[in-house]
Amino acid sequence: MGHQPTFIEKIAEKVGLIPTLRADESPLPSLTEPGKLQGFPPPEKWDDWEEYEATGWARKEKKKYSIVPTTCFNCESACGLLAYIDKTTGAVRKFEGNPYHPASRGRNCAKGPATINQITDPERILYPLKRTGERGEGKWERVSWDNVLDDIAGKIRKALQEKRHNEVAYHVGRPGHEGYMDRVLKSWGIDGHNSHTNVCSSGARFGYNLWHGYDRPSPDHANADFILLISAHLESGHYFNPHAQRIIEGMMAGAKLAVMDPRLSNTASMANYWMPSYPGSEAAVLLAMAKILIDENLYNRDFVENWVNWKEYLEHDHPGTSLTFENFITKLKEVYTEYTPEFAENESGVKAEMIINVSREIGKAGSRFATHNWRAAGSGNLGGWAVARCLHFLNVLTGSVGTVGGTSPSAWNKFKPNFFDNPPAQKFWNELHFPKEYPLAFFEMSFLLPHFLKEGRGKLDVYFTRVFNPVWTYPDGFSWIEALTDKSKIGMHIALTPTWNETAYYADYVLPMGHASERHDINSYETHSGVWIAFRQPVLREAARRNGKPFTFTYEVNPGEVWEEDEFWIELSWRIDPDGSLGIRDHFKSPYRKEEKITVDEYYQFILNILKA
Amino acid sequence: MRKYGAFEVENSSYEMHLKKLSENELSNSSTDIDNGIITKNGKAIGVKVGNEMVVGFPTPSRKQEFFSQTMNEWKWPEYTIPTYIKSHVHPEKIDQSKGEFPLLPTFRLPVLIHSRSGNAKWLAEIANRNPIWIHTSDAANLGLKTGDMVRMTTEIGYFVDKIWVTESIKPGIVACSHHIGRWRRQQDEGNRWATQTVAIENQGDGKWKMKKLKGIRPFKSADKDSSRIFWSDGGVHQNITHAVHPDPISGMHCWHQKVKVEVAHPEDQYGDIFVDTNKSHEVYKEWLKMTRPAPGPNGLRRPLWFARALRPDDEAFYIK
Ligand code: SF4
Repeated sequence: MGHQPTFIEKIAEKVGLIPTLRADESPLPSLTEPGKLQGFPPPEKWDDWEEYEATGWARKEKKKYSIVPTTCFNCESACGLLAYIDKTTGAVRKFEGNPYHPASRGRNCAKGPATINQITDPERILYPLKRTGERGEGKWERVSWDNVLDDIAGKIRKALQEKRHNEVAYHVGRPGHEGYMDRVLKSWGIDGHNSHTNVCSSGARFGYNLWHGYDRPSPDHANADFILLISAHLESGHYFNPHAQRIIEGMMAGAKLAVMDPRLSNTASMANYWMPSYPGSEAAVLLAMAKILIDENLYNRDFVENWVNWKEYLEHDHPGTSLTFENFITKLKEVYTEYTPEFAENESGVKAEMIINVSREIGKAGSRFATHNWRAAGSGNLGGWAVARCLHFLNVLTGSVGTVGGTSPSAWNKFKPNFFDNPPAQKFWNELHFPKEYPLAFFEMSFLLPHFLKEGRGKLDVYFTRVFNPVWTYPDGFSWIEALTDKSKIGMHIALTPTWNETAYYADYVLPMGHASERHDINSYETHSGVWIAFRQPVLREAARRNGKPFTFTYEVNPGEVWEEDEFWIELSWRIDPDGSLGIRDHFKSPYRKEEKITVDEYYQFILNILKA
Repeated sequence: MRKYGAFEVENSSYEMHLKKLSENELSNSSTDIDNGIITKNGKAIGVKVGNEMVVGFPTPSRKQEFFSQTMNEWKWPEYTIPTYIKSHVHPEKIDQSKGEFPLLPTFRLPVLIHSRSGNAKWLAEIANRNPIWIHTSDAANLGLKTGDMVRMTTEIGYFVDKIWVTESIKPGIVACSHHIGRWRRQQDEGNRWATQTVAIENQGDGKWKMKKLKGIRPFKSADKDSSRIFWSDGGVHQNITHAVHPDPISGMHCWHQKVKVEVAHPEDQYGDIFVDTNKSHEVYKEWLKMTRPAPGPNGLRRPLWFARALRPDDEAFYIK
């Protein structure tokens, strides 16, 4: 007799974690009498949910909760969360997954439920703070929001009136919203957006963009036959939890996984092929794979012939050659001659044999070939952008661009909201963000800012940092400290942050902003094939609304005087233009109440109504 | 939306490049007979493939661009097609006999998020150290074992960390995880779950030192758990010792660092950091030399078809 499934295996079979080992086996023995086990509280009970109190276990104590959905803000995925609000105390007690969220489907990584730590952190910043000593000295006093808003608004107003538009900038770490700030900055008419992207994903984005004008991949892992990752998506990375679920789903259905990484990550440890490439050699390996697909006729002729600009290539690089597809293939073979598996092995240390095997698997998978590079090699190396370019080359050759089980451009899987008002594009170009030396830079040259200031290329009068900590996260943090403590270079530094950080120590104002459950945002990300939209909301505000409690602003229900940014920018913009003469106020007037200032509820009402229609 | 928090707009969206252009879209458009590009009001809106008039991709050719005329026009003719570019940490630039290694400083841990999770006690409890990953054979060559201290010298300074000897990294390479090594000075508040106390000394002329005074310690607060903190290390801040490496094309900071790994000096203490910002400015200038500045064709600052997060008016794309 063969292997008898163990109890654990039977459970794993039952819940679909592993395929059924013995179809004809007796059913799973029951440990208890059948009860009403549920994964999640049913939505009809979310307003009045009762469960046993964990800390009162032996006493069988029950607690009543109001359950309000929001989204996690501890990475870019914006997975769904359900906030359990204690009906007696009115406090958020815990966060669990939201089964109705199309990307996370009820599941979270450790950082999701840990949101509760962040909102109850005894050391969180609860009130606006103003520096009292020298900048960076670490001396603060509590000030009123009213004074803060007036002070900053006055300074911005002056800069705009004096046409010093390029001296006002907003530097963002994790945006977490769809277009909100772009609208605000446009309404001020400034080229004032600076981001973190050039220390993050610009490399890969550039490579993808060159191919097809979209800068991010959206692999359809769940339907793939072969998955190639230059990343660690089973443990981290962009859209980690939603991707991890689908990679495993794909593998459960038979997909094979290859991971290129010099480190045995958790992801590489789950792979069928771990390709420990020397850092920076990835493009060489990928071109060797491309060569095998071409040489062994494993490419998708239909897609390549119709959808690649090969005629333009022949015309430019091989003038006089007649424009036939056969000639293109011949030239391809010639131009990549040196990229043999042996050459790739020599550069990368990955065995030639493995490169050949993986290439043939890719050829076999054809249009069901999912790939991903986000940071990793793309962000580590000079010319790292070529990694994504060479990776996508494999998708093009196999015709797996935008197919079932293939790799789509991000924008196909992302929702773009319509706003109640669209200010015109700004007329300024800020060379502190996009200097002439980097005409192709995919995002702002943000990490060079201290060097640009040092060289006297410009100055900043009002500088917002928001969920952004360059002193710690960026390279060369001491140059940031030097820039931030020099008032002739940065006139005013305002740190918008839910928690203290090394950059906020060097601010003039530290303004507390809400965590995931204390703010509004619209989220939509390319986590899989499909398009979804999620709503981050201040959960205590929604609970107050349900209970008919009066409030106007989110800070009234948040702890201390923690604001949400949406309301902050509306208030600030309104005050920059007290008489409307700058034309800014026009962009913050309610679409529903004439001449009145828009509320955050109206802002989202407008977006969601269009969506419903 | 307020009730369920999320919903699906479409449950699948494949092959959108094959979307046919409508009659309306096609009216007053023209199609180039050579390359099939369909233009309307001076803008490409799609492409003719076979007999179909479809949207294609948002590139100048409306197709997948194996060949990039943009790279050609913007002075990078050597990179018009997919190419392999040798990294700044290519073996040719690393002298192993001098103890040089490429440092991989970027890998993320599943439970932390950059510098934003220092206020989450459960997460700090799980991950609070960032030793240097080094292969068994390299550690043996250096005569080191797990827990020993090394001085990691970058182009602009150094940091002192401990090593973790493992088979899980390729020989000849060292790695150090991101997120850890958070600090506060004695006068600063916050994140005591994850920050160590440091002293920063500005020695003048761009020279900076950081010394660890205290690791993570239990503290009294409204949350009883804060007096139960049992972890104490807190790791070492590595990024602050990295030079900037702007890729001359994509603008990406190229994170890998060439480092010299050596046994810590007798005066070194765990967590010591030294940086010379004048040196970092020099490295910046060296990388700046690799660029090929604007203007591009027609006096452009940037290709018009390239996106920008906050896109200015087209007029602003031209250098005046
Ligand atoms: S993957 Fe990201 S968004 Fe999802 S639960 Fe984890 S931290 Fe939150």
